[in-house]
Amino acid sequence: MTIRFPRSLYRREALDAAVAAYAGLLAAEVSTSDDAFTATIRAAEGAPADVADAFANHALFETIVRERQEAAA
Amino acid sequence: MSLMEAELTYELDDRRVSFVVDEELYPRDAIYGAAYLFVDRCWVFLDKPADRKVSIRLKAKTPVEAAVLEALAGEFANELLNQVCRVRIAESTSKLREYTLARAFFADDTRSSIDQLLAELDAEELAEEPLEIPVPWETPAAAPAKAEGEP
Repeated sequence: MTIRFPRSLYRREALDAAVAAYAGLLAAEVSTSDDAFTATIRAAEGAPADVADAFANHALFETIVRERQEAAA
Repeated sequence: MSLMEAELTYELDDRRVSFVVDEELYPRDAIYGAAYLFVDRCWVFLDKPADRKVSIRLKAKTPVEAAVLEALAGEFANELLNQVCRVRIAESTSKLREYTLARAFFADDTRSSIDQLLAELDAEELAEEPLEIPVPWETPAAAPAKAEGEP
């Protein structure tokens, strides 16, 4: 499956952090276009059904943390 | 604006509830702030359906009734307003906070004000002890004489 993350709302490094965090549960390839990052996700065998949602959730969390760190710096 | 327009318009779909907010009313920081508080309760996903619009999708982690999803959307909307207030207050008081911090860090009268307070305490005449109970540390001469050979 593919998930489209708008570039104005998500950060690439946050997506990379989510890919690393969920490496045991899914394989994800992230590509970049003008307005979005697209993650192509393949869930590992035995992974929970909501693993893609959890992955997107994690990407948002990492984005927010980075936004706040940057604002505080 | 009619009452219906004033209410939060959302879409329900299985375990998901989604709604669109205007970034003119809800700044990006407020949206992030509310989302941050909900990422542990549900799956949160943001999308950009149009310029200055952000779509927020909340998906329950377990199957729930529609009423629960509606309540979740309402709570999120309330938190959005709360976060907007926080952002606005932070913006309007930023100069004041900068000034206060700068004064706290760079003013050199901190030490002297502490010294001044200590001097005031030293100079202050203590009130008379109403019970006039003698305390041994104030009358060293009254201490019993030590016996010879006592260390």
